[in-house]
Amino acid sequence: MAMPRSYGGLSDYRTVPAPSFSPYSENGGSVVAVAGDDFAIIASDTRLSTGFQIYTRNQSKLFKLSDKTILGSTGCWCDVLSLTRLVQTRIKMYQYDHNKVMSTPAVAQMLSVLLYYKRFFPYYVANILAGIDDNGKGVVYSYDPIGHHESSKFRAGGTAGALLQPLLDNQLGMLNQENVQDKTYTLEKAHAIVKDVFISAAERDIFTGDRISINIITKDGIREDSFELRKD
Amino acid sequence: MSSIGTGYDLSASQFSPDGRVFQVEYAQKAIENSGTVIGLRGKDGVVLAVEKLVTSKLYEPGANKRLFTIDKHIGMAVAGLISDARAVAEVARTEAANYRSQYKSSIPLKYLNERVSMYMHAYTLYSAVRPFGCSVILSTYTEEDGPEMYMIDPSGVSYGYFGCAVGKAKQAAKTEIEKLKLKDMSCQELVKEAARIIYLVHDELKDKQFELEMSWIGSQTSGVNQQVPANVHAEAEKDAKAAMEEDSDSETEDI
Amino acid sequence: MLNISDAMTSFERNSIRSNDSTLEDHQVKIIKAPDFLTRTLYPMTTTASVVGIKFNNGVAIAADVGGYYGSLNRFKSLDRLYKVNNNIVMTTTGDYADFQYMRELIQQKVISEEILDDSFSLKAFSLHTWLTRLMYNRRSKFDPLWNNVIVAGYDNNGPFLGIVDKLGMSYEDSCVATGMGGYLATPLLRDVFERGKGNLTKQEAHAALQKCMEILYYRDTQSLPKVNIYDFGPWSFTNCFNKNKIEPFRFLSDELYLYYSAKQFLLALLYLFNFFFRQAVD
Repeated sequence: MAMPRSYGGLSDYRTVPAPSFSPYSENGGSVVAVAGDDFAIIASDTRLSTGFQIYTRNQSKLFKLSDKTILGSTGCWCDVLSLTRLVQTRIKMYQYDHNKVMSTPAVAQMLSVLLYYKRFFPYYVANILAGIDDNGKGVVYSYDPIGHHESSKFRAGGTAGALLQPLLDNQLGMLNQENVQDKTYTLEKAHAIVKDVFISAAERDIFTGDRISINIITKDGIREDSFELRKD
Repeated sequence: MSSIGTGYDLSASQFSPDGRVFQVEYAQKAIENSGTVIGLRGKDGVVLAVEKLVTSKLYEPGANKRLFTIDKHIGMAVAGLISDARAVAEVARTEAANYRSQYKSSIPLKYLNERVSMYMHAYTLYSAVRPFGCSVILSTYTEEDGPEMYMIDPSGVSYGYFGCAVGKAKQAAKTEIEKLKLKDMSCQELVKEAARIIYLVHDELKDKQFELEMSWIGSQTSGVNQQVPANVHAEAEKDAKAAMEEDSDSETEDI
Repeated sequence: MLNISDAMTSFERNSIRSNDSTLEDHQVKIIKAPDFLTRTLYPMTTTASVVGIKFNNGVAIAADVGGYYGSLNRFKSLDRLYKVNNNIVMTTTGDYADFQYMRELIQQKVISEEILDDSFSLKAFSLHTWLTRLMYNRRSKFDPLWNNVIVAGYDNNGPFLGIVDKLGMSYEDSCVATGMGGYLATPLLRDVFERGKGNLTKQEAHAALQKCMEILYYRDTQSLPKVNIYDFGPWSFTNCFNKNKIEPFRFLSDELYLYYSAKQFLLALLYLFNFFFRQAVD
């Protein structure tokens, strides 16, 4: 059946195609986390952007969940905000229910559950969780948007994740190096490498830059550090 | 009350053989136990005053307020059960908010009065509910219609008033109000009279402690309902106390 | 993509029984919701960029007064800056109807709070967070409010300046801009802000905002050279809200403006004369 076409409406004034609605946006940013024997380091850049526009140069993507757990979260920023707020609320509820601070592995499992709960309208978010476990050992968990997760020694995520992971494998995991005797690393070395890989990411990834905010978690608490990156 | 105990007072949905609804009358009785509340409508605004009986010294000052703001331009004073009154205030606020969302202008008092009256009336019709144990006075001031004031009874009956009183000493208060030339009085004058009347009708022997609450709305508040400012309140209260002193002095002289 | 007229047509087609020859007499066509229910797929009446900047002990935002219907400048004097209470002002870029809807929601929220008379008032950052939830909930229903919101205010914690977009994405910064302003104005504002080492005077901040609006007028086809600016500072706490609404400014000099106005007027006269002359001849 032929559709009657109406004239004189809004469409006749338009010269550009109508924008369509997507519930997701890509706001960029990268997170790197490294676990050591008695520490964990997690760092993110502070650039929040969309396409070629930088919203702000000063938005850390790290969310302090407790004195021993920090979540780094990037991707669709509205989902990041909603998810992290939910996680923070659930951690408080746990604390009031059980009268103890939620352990890092427990947070890790809960985060997975929260992500999978929205399996069919997912949070468009790359999460990396860092902290120290009940034995004081550094742990890092990384996630996909629907809750798959694994524990590892070091992980890069976000827009420069794919760029940085091989670098970490090489520098911290000593992969593809010959005659390596000692595969351990100190906090100082890990700290330096985190800075270095972000400098590299800022060179190649337009969504990563401006500054990194670094959090070092040890049994004594969290130490914060900041490091300038290129701003173009 | 010869009909009490005949079984016709158990439900709001049943008349007694002589045509009364006892539940409603009992609700009105509940109000007569509460502190006196008066409303005075003058030439440029309305003043509401409450004798709030304080039954314990352990309460914080200002607790259990009996004056409410329904919308920016509507004040409300309540006598009777405070929890019932709060429920009515909430209903009135919702009604005002709905009107605003529909028409983007503030609700006319005439209309709000109609809605709240009908709501209260509905609670006199069914066996599953009891009537509200409170009476409310609504006040407003607009540029177009000047000051307006309504009082609603637990039965759902409401009238517009120049001056009204409800609560313990409503008779004495009404007698005092009738002496005033309300139509010529400004809010400033009304506040003083209101304070004086509340102090006058307060029964010191039966109820020791009370707080005087006053709110006004008029041209001087640009049609916004407000608690009477602390300095005006203090001044009116001081004068009221002074008037009481004089009164008792003259009484002792008579003796 | 489904638009309103398409949706209505299919709704009408489905609902008028006799037009559907594929149905037997006893059959009933089930109309599914998507056939006639449609949500905001594009904004209708739109408004252009808003820019905002913090200065020493204060914050200012600016918006023009235009409303657009596609590329048509449909409205020329909209009041887009909404003063929420004595501490907050907000405005949006995008659909003007959605802005009006939000404005009414917020207005009722503020009234409901004021009438409690507990001397507590809404703070800018609270409103900003609330708007984040509003926008996110609507986007999650696939029924977004098509706006980018700027919230500016001043309270005990100093000046506040934040943005929420139609998805519920939000952030705070010292310089913000929406729409085309994101590309054209933010670099300028950041430059001014950094040169002033984050400690601009009110006048400098106003000048920067005016400059931005001027550039947006030149480069963004959907903006007008009439601008309103609001600012907030500690003075709003002394209960005298400083409603600094500058006069609309013109880019033409007074002489040129007079010249063009006179020319327009004469042309109009000529037209009218011509019109009556013809009528007389007829």
